[in-house]
Amino acid sequence: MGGMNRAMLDRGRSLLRGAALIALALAFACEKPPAPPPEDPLVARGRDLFFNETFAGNGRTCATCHRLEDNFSISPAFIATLPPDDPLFVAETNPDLAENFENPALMRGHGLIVENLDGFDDLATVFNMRGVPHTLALRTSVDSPAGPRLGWSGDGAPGDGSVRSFATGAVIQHFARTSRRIPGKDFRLPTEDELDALEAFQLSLGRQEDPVLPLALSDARAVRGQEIFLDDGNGKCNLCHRNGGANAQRGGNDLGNANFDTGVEDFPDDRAPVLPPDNGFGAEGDGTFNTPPVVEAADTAPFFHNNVVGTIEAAVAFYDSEAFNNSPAGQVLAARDPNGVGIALSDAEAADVAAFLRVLNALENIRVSLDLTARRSDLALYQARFEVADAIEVLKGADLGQGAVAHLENARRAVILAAKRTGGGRTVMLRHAQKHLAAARAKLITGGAKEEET
Amino acid sequence: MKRLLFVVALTLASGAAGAQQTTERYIPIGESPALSGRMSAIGTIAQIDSDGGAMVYETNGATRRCTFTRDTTIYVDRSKAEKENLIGSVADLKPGRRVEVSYYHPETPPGETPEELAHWIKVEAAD
Repeated sequence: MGGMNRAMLDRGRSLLRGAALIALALAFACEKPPAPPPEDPLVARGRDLFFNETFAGNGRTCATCHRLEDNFSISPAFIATLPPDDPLFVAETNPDLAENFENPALMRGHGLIVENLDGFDDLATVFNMRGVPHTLALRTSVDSPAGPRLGWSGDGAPGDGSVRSFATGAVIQHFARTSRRIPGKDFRLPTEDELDALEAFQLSLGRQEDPVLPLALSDARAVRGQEIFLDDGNGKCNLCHRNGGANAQRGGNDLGNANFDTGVEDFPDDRAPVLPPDNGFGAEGDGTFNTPPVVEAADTAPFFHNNVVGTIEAAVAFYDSEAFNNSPAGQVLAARDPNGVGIALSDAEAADVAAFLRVLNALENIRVSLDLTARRSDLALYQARFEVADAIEVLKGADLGQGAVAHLENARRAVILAAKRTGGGRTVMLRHAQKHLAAARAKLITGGAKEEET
Repeated sequence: MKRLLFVVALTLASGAAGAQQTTERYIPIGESPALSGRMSAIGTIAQIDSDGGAMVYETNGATRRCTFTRDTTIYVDRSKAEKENLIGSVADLKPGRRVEVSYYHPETPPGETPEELAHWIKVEAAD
């Protein structure tokens, strides 16, 4: 075969591989089975395991780090409220875990947890420090054509890499009684039934689908921010966070959850002690990290795998930084930009995008609160008070939605009162709460449901 | 064409999704979630090639052969003895010992028998 024909054949094979990738992307987005209701027995069992099962380990449970009160994550501010004997601090209270199990200074100061994703042979020098990702909206946030992506580098789960298998790796990494990690002695592995239950519970948390943007928002800053977010020529956020979720998209096609090297490791970090470098995905590390959803971003600070920035405004501003624009991801965006620009946002534009994300998060808080108050259980109402409080905090943090905040304050009081009552008394208070939640939502959405008289 | 190239670049830049293998060291033979018995085979070592590049093992009445690559990790499972599991080597693969092989088959031209390559091998430690 001649050289010219060989070149054409190679080009053809490249095109076919590219087409196959697109076909994979389209094929994987098949219809998923509906989520089981929260009262499903398997979900309930998973809830019990998540909050209470220590797997014969050091006393920690899944909820030790994934706190219901902190959006199933854990922040430095929340850590500061914990008593010294909390299982989170086993490295400080258990002599068998005093060396290299955690870094108390980084945990307490920055909410960072030790991960040994590059191996356990040299615990003193080979480790990563990472924030605790929340476990909300997993149903819409981890699938990709090449398989599920869990954790900050998308390779967090052992076995088949799935949500179901994640607990096995977590028990080994975080629950062991000693750093020797002897199975059957330092911990026990979750059984197959327990993995099923934990998976069902975790998938039940938070959103079961992504929103459909644009939303008809009422706040001018949030409206501008949403426009920038959706503009593939300006903010470009929607390319990787389609509809505010965790999935990339191109030309309207969902490419699933993806990893990118966005240059976070090169972002200036003057925290002490100095963090070890984190090479991202894979044992050898390719520098990429996984994309989280941003609907839940505003109330799950700090941000990125190393918690390097503390506000949603700073997180948005990162994408205007040299670190991002010099990164592989930034360079890809620049290559397809007519002006050769990755992302360039003015201070005002970045603030507007942050305002949009705050309102988006608050709307999700309201949605969850309505769902929880409808369930009426003690645990649901306990969670609802934190969700409503989060909505208040994210809006007040940027002086947004003042009319909505007033209703949310009333809703929060009503939820707290409802939790103290039973029967008809609880019902009355919950109706009051739900009216104020709906009214708050009506303030945030243009032409939303008419505000009901309260 | 530009759109196609962007999609390809985006997907390739994102890397292949995969499970972490690091904690496999501490998972006993047969207990790797959703993997043991599905994408792995459990059996008994029959022989190791003289050049140390492949292993023949018996599983479910059949004989299988797996080839090691430079990325193949060998774990020594000492959990039954309540000892810490270790990263091992080909020297730990002895005939008669129980093993679990996480395998895959690379692309093979039509008509050729696919080769079985090992992601990792767990071998039960000698008593």
